[in-house]
Amino acid sequence: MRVKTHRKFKEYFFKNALIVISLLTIFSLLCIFAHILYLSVSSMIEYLFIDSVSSVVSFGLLINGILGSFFIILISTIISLPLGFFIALFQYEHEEVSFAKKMVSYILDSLQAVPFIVAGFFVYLLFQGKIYDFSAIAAILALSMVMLPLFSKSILSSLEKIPENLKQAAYALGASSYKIVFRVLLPAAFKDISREVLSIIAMLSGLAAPLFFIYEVGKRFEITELGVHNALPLLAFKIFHSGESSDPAIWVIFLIIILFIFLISLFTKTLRNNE
Amino acid sequence: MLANRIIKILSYVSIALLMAFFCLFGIIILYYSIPAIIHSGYHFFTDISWIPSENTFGALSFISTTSLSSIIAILIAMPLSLSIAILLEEYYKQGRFNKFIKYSIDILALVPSIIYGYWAWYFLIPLLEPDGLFFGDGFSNIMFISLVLAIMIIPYSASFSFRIISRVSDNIKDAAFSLGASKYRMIMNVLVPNSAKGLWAAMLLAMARCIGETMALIFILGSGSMLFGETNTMTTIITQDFFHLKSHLHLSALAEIGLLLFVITTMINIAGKYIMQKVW
Repeated sequence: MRVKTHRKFKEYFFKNALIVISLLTIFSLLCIFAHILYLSVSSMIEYLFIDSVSSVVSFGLLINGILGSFFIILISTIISLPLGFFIALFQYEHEEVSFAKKMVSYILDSLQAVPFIVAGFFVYLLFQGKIYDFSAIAAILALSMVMLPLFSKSILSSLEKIPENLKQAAYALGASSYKIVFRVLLPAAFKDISREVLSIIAMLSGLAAPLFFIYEVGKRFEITELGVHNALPLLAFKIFHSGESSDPAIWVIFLIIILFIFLISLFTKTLRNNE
Repeated sequence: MLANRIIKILSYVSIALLMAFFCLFGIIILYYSIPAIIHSGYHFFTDISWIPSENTFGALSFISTTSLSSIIAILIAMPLSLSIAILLEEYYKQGRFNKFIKYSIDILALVPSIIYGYWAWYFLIPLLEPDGLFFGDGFSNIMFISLVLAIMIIPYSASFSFRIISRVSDNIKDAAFSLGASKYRMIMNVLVPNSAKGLWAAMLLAMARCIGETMALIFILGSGSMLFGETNTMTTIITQDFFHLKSHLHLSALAEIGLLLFVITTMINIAGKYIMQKVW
């Protein structure tokens, strides 16, 4: 009887301790997130509607930052996504474990392990001295370096989820490799790949570390004739570093990043639910 | 067929570009690190004096701050992440509560670290340090850095831990129940030991992320705030000193720190992935 009571007590205590610890953790994190949202939204209201609040960031500079982020992410994706796809295809097609496949896997793991700040530092060292002319290219290269292993691994895992008999059936019908890739594999894995790619883009949209060394030295950060000079996270850091560390525009920038991430996350969830 | 050949060529070209880029990365980082490696030798790892104006580059304080803060952050984050994972897998496997927690964790994991770092500078420091009494000595600096890193890493390690916990076969759990084990016993004696390898791997991967983290700490450490004195991690010293380079040797020393960061995070990632392959 005593043993039973002791056991029940242990069960009860353990379960409730687990619930309390987990809920406290989640609640604390959600409170932090809610506080960040509150600060962002109130700063946005101050920035847009209250004249007495001054900011070193004009609305045009903010748009500049949004366009800059958009172009950097777009061009980096255009470069690294096809490369990542063909690297994943190589690994997928070479089913037996060969030296080349092991080497590729090792290189991708190593590139994925590179801290973001080291990626940016490497790009700075690569262009050292010439960064004024190549700052946009340098930023795109740094972000592509970060994106490539992520895209490649996620595309490979999406391709591996496709049932093997689908591919075998296509081979049995006499389809060529080209047709199998573009008429069987890609359509079958398209939704999964799209979700993964969008998640990676959302994750990297707030990344400042790879672009860090382009700041200050890369004063000519022009990508288009629109004179795009910035990326949003970099702009936030520039404002902070210029001495205006409590400028409301910093929170406005973070709100834009959070909204972008939230929208993409919602979109990927909708894609998943529709499957 | 021409199209098949094109696909093959594109694959090989992509692989070649990847390998060339990786070699270029290694060569550039090594090339710029070599002057500092020759100049400082093993003193780089054993000296604590970092005085660029005197060409003295001892990175021990940064290495120890980085290691300690990462380890403490993991020690804070892992039990909390594991408890969330166990709760969702064993007690609330389905339902709205499960969906809500998972979605919250996914969103929190996507929040960029720069936002957490700025929030810590904007809100947490004034909250904990209104009179300039809390910070200043090494211990409290490292505890604060660890706290910020832990806040950042909990959602990431929670979603990872959940994937690992959910991989444990239901048969093993049912076998434990059929032998009369309570839920508590099943979790402590079956679930956790069976997923221990995966949890170690999760810990290593989270640690690699902590070690490479920059933007979460740059507002706290890199702002020139006197609160934290000379405390710096390997990543923040690169960003801080970059704007005040004294000599080419100084740049080379920063490149050496970058190389060290790359080596450490690669080793940790490879160890983590090796363990994951054994598990999965």
